[in-house]
Amino acid sequence: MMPTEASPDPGTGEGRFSDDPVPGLVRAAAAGDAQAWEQLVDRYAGLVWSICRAHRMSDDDAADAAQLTWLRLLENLERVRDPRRLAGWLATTCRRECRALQRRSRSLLTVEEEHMDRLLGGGPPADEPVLTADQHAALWQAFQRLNEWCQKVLRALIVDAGDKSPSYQLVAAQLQTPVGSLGPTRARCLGQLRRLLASDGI
Amino acid sequence: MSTDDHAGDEPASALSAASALSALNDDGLLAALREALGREEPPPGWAVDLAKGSYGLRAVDAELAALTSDSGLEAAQPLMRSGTAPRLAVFDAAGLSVEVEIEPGARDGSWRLIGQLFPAAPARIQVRQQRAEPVWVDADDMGRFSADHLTRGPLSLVCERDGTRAAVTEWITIG
Repeated sequence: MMPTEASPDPGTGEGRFSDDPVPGLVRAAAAGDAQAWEQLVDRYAGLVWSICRAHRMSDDDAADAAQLTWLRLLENLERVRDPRRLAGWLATTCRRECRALQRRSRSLLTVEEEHMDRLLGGGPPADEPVLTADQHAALWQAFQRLNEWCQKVLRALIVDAGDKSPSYQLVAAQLQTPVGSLGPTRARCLGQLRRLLASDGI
Repeated sequence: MSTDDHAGDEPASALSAASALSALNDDGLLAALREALGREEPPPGWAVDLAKGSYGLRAVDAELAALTSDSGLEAAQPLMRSGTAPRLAVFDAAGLSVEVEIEPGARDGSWRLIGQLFPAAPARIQVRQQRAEPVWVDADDMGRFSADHLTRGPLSLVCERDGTRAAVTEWITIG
């Protein structure tokens, strides 16, 4: 990502995006290059899976929604208008497939099952994710570009520890780092993440 | 990016989505990150392999028949058992419509589909499933065809008629 003004290529008008391999991979996959397709899958399988997981689907449904998302991309490879936005497109498509599957599973419940589900407090997820699909994709992409230590620290800080975030003591012990360094590290890494987000797409 | 129907779903562009996030304070940004990554786990290897292998399911020279209606995707109506009526899906391409009914099959856990081509004409239909070998069935002179013993998961049909370009339906999930 992060297309820059570097190495402009007046011939195709695409040269200035040459540091983003995704458009080239999409074109190659559309032209029949299976390896380019595999690279696209490697690059974005984590994003697609994380969106299915965010919808709290069963393993089977999550797998179906993920596969359907990849099949949608496959049938639309030649029609891709802006490959630089592939992550956002995949996120939107995946979210749509998740919702469709959830609607369908729900419509297959019997009245009794639905009633039981309510009594037991289970049933379809009531908490729709707050992030839009594009935001999810933008955040996911920016996070992947953070250095390894920042990714580690932020991951440790967002671990779901019951209802509250884990304590600094816990995270510090887990990462074997002084407690006093966590606050500044947290601020520095979130600052980097913010700058990556701000520069995204400019 | 590709088709217009995606455009209306999430109006925010990637740019404004990212800049809205960059305006959050530290706590807000961390909460957003928890939302995006909190339940994240690496995708299972078999799911990645399946996605990679799906490249072989590309129907390069066929015209795409878009899903234009699907009773299975309509809003849930808990008081009307959807189990009593088969699911009906319609695909449209230029000069061809494919209607399919999907219902539980002869074997437990299997699915059956009954299809109709418009305009009615004989055709060779390939039933493609991501987790099973493709099956060929014939549409008769009235454009009717059926296939049984289908497994749950993504499914798509390729329709070959004499003298016209093949059509391939969008993928849908059965089961």
